[in-house]
Amino acid sequence: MPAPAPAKKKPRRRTLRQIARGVRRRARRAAGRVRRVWRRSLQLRVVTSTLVISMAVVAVLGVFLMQSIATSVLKSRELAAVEESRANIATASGYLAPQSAEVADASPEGGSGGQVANPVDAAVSALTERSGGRYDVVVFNEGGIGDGRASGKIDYGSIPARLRAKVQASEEGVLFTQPVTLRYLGTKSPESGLAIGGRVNGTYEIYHLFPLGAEETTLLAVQRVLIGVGVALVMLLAAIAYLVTRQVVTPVRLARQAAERLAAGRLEERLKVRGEDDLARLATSFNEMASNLAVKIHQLEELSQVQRQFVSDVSHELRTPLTTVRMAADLLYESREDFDPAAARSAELMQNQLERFESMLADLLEISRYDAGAATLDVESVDMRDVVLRAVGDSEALAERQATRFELRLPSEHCMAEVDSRRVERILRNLLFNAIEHGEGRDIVVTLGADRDAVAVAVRDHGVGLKPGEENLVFDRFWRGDPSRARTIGGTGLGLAISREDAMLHGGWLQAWGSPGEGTQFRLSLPRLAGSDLRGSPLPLVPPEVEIRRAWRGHVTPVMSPAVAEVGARSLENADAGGFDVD
Amino acid sequence: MWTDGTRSRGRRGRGTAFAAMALVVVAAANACAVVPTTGSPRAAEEDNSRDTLNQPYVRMIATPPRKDASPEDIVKGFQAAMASFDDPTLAVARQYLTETAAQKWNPWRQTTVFETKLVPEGLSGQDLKDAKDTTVTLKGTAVATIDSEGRYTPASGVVAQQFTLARASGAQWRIEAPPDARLLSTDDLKRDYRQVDLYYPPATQAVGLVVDRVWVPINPGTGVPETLVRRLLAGPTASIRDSVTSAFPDGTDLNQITVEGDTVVVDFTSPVESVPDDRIEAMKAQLTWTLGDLVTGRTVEIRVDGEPFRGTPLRFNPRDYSRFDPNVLPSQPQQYYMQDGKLFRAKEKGGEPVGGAAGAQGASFDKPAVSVDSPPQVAALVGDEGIWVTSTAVGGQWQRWIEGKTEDLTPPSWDRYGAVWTAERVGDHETQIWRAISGQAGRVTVIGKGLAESRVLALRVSRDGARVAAITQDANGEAVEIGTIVRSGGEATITNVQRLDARTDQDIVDIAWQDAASLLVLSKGKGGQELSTWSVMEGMEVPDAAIKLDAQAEIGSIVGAPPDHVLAGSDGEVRTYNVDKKAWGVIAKNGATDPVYPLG
Repeated sequence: MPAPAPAKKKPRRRTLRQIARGVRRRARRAAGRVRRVWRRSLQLRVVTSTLVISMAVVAVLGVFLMQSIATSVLKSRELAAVEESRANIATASGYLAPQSAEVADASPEGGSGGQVANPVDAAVSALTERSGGRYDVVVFNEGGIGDGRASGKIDYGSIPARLRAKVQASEEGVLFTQPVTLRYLGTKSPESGLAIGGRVNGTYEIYHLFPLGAEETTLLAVQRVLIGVGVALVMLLAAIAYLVTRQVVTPVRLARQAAERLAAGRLEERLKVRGEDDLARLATSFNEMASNLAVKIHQLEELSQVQRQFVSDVSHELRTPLTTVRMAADLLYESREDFDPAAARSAELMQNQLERFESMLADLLEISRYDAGAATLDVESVDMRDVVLRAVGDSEALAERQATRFELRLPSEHCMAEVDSRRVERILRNLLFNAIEHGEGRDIVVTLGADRDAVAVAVRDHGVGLKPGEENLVFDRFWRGDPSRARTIGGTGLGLAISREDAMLHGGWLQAWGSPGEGTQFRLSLPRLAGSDLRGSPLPLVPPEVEIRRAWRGHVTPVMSPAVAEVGARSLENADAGGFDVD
Repeated sequence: MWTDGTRSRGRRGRGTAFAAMALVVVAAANACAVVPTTGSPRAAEEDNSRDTLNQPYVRMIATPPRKDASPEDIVKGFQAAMASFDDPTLAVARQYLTETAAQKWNPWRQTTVFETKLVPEGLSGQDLKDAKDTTVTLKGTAVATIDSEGRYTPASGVVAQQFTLARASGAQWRIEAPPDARLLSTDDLKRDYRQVDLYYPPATQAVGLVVDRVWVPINPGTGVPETLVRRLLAGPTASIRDSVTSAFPDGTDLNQITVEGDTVVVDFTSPVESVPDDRIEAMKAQLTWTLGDLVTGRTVEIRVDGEPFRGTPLRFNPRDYSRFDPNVLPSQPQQYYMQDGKLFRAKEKGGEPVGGAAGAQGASFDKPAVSVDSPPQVAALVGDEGIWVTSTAVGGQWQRWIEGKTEDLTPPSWDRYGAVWTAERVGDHETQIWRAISGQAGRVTVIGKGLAESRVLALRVSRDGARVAAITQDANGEAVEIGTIVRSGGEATITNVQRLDARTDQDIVDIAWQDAASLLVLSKGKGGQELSTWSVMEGMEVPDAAIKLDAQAEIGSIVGAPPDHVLAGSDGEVRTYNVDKKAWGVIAKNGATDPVYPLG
């Protein structure tokens, strides 16, 4: 980067930190993946634990076995070596004894032709002859000159100074041994060995150097075999665990998949039954359960079908007599002025209740159409502002009667959506009527919001509100917030249920929020394109001012900026709304 | 006892199961018992992998001079350090010298061997304390000298070697003037040196080998076999340099000798690949014969810098090279002797005359010699007309090869190349040596005085055809001379003539080659007859090899054959010496004389 030095430093530090963060993130992700795999795979867990445990056992056994073999091999070798050294030292002691030295001294004078060799030479030759190359002998004599001898290729420097000091300070006939590395003259490579030293005849030190190369080779071979066998054993155990768990896990996995499909509604799903073992019995039970469930569900479906049919039939059947009753009632109503006041009042009442009965029948028919799955959408692209305005216009008369004012918050630009405007208008009308009915004369806020994917309409009143838990009950058929309250507008009790069915038919949501004393808000969210999925709503379910107030009252300090509060509100709203806010 | 039937049955059933299980356990335990206790007999396997090349040997450990050592101890320590061959530069020995002496000292020229102990003599006590320099004298009996090429020469007499010592740094005594030689005792020699026989093919390119015996110090770093082969590659000693040619090309060096299972791998440097194809056999023979016992029963492989020789492994079995034997003869050579004027071939029971003229009644002949041809040829002094040769094939007739008077000619001697040798007296102090091939006699040039200017009583050519031994007589008495034969073209020359025995007052009766390197000498002194074996290349008598002679029997002639066959003719009997029993046995009686082994 062609930036000045101080600037250069900053980006690099940032990139470093970024790299670190990236690595950490990647590691965390990998760990997460591993953890997930670990948690999900029973087989992996069983195989891993078998592997770990068998490895531990094999390692412990192997180490123990190796140690005991090594000890026994080396111990026996050492004992044999010490025994041989002792015998040799006894022999050498005979050669090196002072009287024999005198004989050797005397011999040249006797002129026997030098057949009696130097005692040290004679001793070492005898020992070397006896060794036959199996070990090497080194003799030192601090008290004499030219009495040092070594056999073969051994480098007498292989004898450690500590051993020599020990031998020099020891009693005669006491042997000392020390593991050493044997070095040789020439090209022969060093090997491990054992040095055994003893002091004889005053200052003579005799060392035997036993190579342990053969033992080392044997032990290495044994070690290699042990490692090989151990690895093979662990692999075998892991393979066995894998096979065994596979035999158990595969049917369980099949059962799980079948259960999942069953849960997804495919009631015809069945397991294959093989053999007579526990897993086969599990499969049999599962199949029985599935068929029982299917039978029960079928029965329930039939029952509800019958009920729906009944409601629909009753509604239809009631219409014909109702038409006749209506005609008669209309007649009575129109001529009510001719009646006495009591009869006229009765005619009015009858007219009202008949209208209500009619609309209730219409609603019942409508809802039975939904139940039968016969409802269809008549989709067209409309400007949602027009739809809202039409719905508000339809409600103006009722609002005026209740002395309620509407506050419209509409976007300035077009807000097009593919909807069935008749049904949406009906939803909004329902919501507005509902709000007027429960708004206790206070202002009703109607907000229209839109984003790229969705449009939303929120209807807010400032009435008594909803108690906690009632947000979903309001959509139930014939549900009543306060049974003691009269229906002033004369809703059928089916309006919100139909509205919700309508919203769902659009692939949208209809949700309610309410709080005692703070009023209620209903929000209708619809996708802009018919048939597409709704992932979020452009408007919050909880009114923003309520959120802010809550935040103020809560643990958020007054210093906190409104933006933070906003964020808090949004996140809370997210929690409430089930996390569909992605924008 | 259970009386209840069912219970009893149950008990028995369980018992059976238990017994079966125990059986299985015992069988399993038997099957995997670590040490088998049974099995069928089979041929014993032997471990041939042991490294016989690694002969054990003992080395001297050189120790640096001690602090405040006396002059005697310095000299003794110097002597001991000289005997250590661990370090080829003798660095430790040089620590006993003053700095200037250490730089100048050159011990490589010669090695002097003394009798076992050299006793240092020098000043002692108070005199030494103030002295600035002193002298220590080593006195001993000289035994031999070994020159730089390993040739051993016996020596005798008392030797006094003086060492001048001076105070060096730290008032320590150091040797100022060491002799330019390595001084060793016989112990050191025995410990550090090996007497080795090197084998070289003759310069005539004939099949066969010639022995060269030298003493070499063992290099402790490489061991005996490598020391041997390195010495072989270094070439023959000066005495036979002209009569042999090593098959190994010049510049060949040894990398190492290793043992791989049953094979001894000899790894040479690359010049060995330039050996001519017709010399490869000779090269292999040289190697196997020089390594000798070290490779017996093994296979030898020659490699070049670790790679196979010329791409293919050059493996061979030492047994296949017995035809190169410098001694030529088989291990049980045929014995011949004279009886009733005929040449007899010795057999298990009695003997039979040979075929041809030598085995027939006819011309009287004397002192026969037998060649190694097949059928063998016989050369003999016939009548008064010189040396005649006949074949032992049926119908073989005498042919004269060398003219001369019988009394002037020595008995004939065959060499392995089919030539008959003899010496002719031409004057009181002049001898002419003749060599005849296929009837054509030729004069042999003799370089040196020993042979030509004295009277030769007997002349014997060694079985490897490389040396000649002669009994000479001059004013001082009789002596044995050894010469080397150099053959070039059709000519033969005897060079390097050396006297074998330094003693003078003795009467040498007969000589015979035992093998290529040792000569049997039958002498007659004050104590009666004496038969000794001499190592001709070392010029010394082989100790402990003397053959005890029967005090009564007067032996007229001897012959020898390798490894230790000896025949003697005495009092009309031919006897053979049994080495194991150390006793003589008779193989032919009734006037049998002149025992003969082929050649020699």
